[in-house]
Amino acid sequence: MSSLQLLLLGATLGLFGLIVSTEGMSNGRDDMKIEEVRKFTTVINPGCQVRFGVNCSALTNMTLLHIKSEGKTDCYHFLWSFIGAPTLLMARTSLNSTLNVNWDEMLEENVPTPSITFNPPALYSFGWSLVKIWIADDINDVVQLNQINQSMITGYQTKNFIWERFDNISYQNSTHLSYTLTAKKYIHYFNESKQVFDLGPDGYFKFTIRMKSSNGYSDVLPYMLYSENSTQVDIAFNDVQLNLTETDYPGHPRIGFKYLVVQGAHLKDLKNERMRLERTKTLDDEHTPGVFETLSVRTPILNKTDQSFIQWKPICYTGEVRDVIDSVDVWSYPLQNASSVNGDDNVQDSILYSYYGADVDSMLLEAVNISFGTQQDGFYNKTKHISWTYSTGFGEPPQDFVSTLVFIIIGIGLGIPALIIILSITYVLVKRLKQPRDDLLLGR
Amino acid sequence: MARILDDGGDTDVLTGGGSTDTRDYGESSVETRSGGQGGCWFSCCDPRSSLHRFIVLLFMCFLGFGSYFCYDNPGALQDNFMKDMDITTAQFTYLYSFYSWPNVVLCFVGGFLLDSVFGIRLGTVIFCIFLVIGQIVFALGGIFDMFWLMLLGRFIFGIGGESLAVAQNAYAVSWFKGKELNMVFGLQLSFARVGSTVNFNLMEPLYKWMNTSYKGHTCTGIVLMIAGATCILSLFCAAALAIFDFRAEKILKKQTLGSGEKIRLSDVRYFPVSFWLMCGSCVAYYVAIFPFIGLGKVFFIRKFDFTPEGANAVNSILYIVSAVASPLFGLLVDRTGRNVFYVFISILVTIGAHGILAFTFLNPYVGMCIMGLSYSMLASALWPMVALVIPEHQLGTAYGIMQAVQNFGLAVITSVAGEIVDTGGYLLLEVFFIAWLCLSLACTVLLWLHDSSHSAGLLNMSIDDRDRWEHDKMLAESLERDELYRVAIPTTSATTAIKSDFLTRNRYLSRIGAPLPSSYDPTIGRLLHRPMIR
Repeated sequence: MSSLQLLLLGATLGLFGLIVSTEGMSNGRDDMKIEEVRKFTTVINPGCQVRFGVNCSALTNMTLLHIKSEGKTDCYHFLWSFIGAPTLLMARTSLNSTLNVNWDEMLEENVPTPSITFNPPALYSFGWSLVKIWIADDINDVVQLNQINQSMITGYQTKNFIWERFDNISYQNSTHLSYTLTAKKYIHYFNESKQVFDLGPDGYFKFTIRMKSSNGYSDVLPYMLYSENSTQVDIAFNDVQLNLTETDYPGHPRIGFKYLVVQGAHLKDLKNERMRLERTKTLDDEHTPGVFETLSVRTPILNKTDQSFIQWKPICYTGEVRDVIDSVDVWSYPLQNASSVNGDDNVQDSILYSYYGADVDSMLLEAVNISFGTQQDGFYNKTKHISWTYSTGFGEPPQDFVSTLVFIIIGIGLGIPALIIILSITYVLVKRLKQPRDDLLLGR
Repeated sequence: MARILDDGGDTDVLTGGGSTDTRDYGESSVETRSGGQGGCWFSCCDPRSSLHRFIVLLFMCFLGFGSYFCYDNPGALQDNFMKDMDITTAQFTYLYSFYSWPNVVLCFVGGFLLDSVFGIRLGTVIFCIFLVIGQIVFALGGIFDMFWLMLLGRFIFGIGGESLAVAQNAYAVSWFKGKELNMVFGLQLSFARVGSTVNFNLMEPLYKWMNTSYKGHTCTGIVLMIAGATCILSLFCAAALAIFDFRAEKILKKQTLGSGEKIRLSDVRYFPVSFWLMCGSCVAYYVAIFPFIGLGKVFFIRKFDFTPEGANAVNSILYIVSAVASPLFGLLVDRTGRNVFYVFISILVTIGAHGILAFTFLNPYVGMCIMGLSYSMLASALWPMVALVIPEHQLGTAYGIMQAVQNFGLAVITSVAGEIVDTGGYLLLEVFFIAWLCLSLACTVLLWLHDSSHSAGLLNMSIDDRDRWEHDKMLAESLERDELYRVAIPTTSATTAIKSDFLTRNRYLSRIGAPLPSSYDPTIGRLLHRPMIR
């Protein structure tokens, strides 16, 4: 009877092992599925010849970066602006569409007519802008911004940073590109006059933009997923002092960001649909050890397929060299409706306003707030550093997949005992069948 | 027996398996109620009265409390440790592996030290002092923010911890042999679980409370120092037990011969393959349990959104379940036998439990309870098997080796587990554990096969079959002996014995490699009777 037990268990195990490994194989095939390869072309300050007496493409303190990603049927445009608030405008156009920038109007503030246009017009557009830095004095260590006394939170407009592009550490080719922009100075306004201050002795605020034309995982913590339709943004906020005097500096600082996100669709066409903040739990923390959650801001779907996302892992790093132990949480708050009329929303600071114009108010425009920190982490003061990554792009936010490694280990793990059972049963059966009982019956 | 053995709820091994019978402290020479009824004593002071024994039992239980309480201190405060000491998960797991390292060796020498060098009373006190010093050094490491000092503390603590478990068993045998020994072992085990459970449920609130006045690593250090009070309690119990034992010896003229288990490493070469397969399954199984408990807290917080307290409660459920289930499964295995089958099922169920934790978002209580059940069943079925394949006089060595291998496995795998969490995350960690369980399963299957082909399936017999087998074996042995006598007498008288044509023919057949009749027994030179060759 014990061999029967073994047989049954063996069969069950073997079947399970088989299922798991074949599933692993099919999963493996998914990884290797060849995606449509897109080709990148990049232009810095498109349509601008000479400004301030310098050739525009050589101007490192004025950056409007136009990345075109051409596919077979359409073209994705990623228009990065570090003029005003750091902004990304994304548009899908037909292949022959061109970008036109009216530089004079764009550099002018509060021009309600669009100065950035596509011809023929974009089929779909989406954009976000980092408009504000929140600095809160979290005396009671409650971490979340909405639980801190609002009078203890100060907002600083990001349009006042002076951004410098570092072309020596940037690189680009048709499948892979990276740009780094850093701000070390901030303009403070005093009534009519303005004055430029350093962010602090080692202070900098850095954006790194990375794109790849293929799917795959980033090699930088938190190892987020790339897709050919998206771009990853690394933000580093190091020793930034936006206060003017030491006494202004909060004792228990927490840092937060405010983003404005807009989808190029009129509210009346959306039937009350709005953007949503989606929190997904995954079983798989293989790529971001210890983090099982992914957050995404997702837009309604337009024209049946057009949608966009901003996706991040709720983890950021408190050291310039990212390390799992030097990590704190990223908090997000419910989305809020925003408008250009609300003076607090600062949409005019960004090229979103230059593209959509005053029309932006009839579009889907929302504010997303993010903040960084974990209870008892010693506040921003401890290391004076926050590094965070998010990805943003067209389509659905990419989904993590369990790696082939996991399936292989389980397949082998369950397969070996199953194999032993099956082999030994076969051996025993064969032996029994083949060997006749040929005892030499010798008796005395 | 050391911690891991204790953790298994294997009272049947310790009592029935015969392993402890070797640790006879001569108590059997003290007969109950035999003369010397000093009338002036209250019964609670009389070493012969059961009331007195139960007072002693109380101290025996608390003797191990400190060790079990403090062993899982790091696990209960994992997130706080990592934040306060600024360490990676890999570094955190060193706290556990440094505990295991000394015990790779101490499994062999612990019993010897206790029996031959210190004696049980002094030995117990010394081991407790190791506990106290270890915990204090551990705590100081926290206060001064020196992680290496913490590791040193854990190492010292490890020296005391495992050996104390041996001492605790020795005391139990010494005082309760032939009386309530079974129950006492059970009670000590349950108390071990209580220690672990209390730790998991107390440390977090204690940390929170201390955190109002102390911050960071100082807070961790102070909390650990407070936890050290349980070690001092243990030391106090050790001292009290020493006094009780000394007094009992004086009054009852009890001999504390301490003929503990003899460990002879040279025995190793006689150990059968089945023993090594058991070792394999045992190590591969336990490395998927203990490192997981050590790392469980943060896993439950991160994956299942538990609060730190809630996560500790989930962790401790495994101990609570096994405290209840161990005696029941022990009884089940005692009654039904079929140990290999039970081991096989437990490993399979544990794979399932790890699978639930890894691949679903089902409340982790489900996975942990199932794991608790299967873990108790495995311990009840696995440890007694050793006694079936190893002769009694080598059992001490066998268990020593099994624990040494296990501690070695734990020391290595725990640190590897930490590394995996840091680089590959918890899913990969779970898969890693599942892979070990599969290895354990493979060993068990091989054991099953080996056993059924080499030793007539002894390990998987039901109790009735096993009794019958024992009976037949004894019968065979006695028949064999008779036969030997019969054969021996004529051969000694006549040096040139004329061999029967039967013997000559068989010798010839065996030389040319032809199969001999299966019932032919070369030792007695004749065919066995049917009943002897089952």
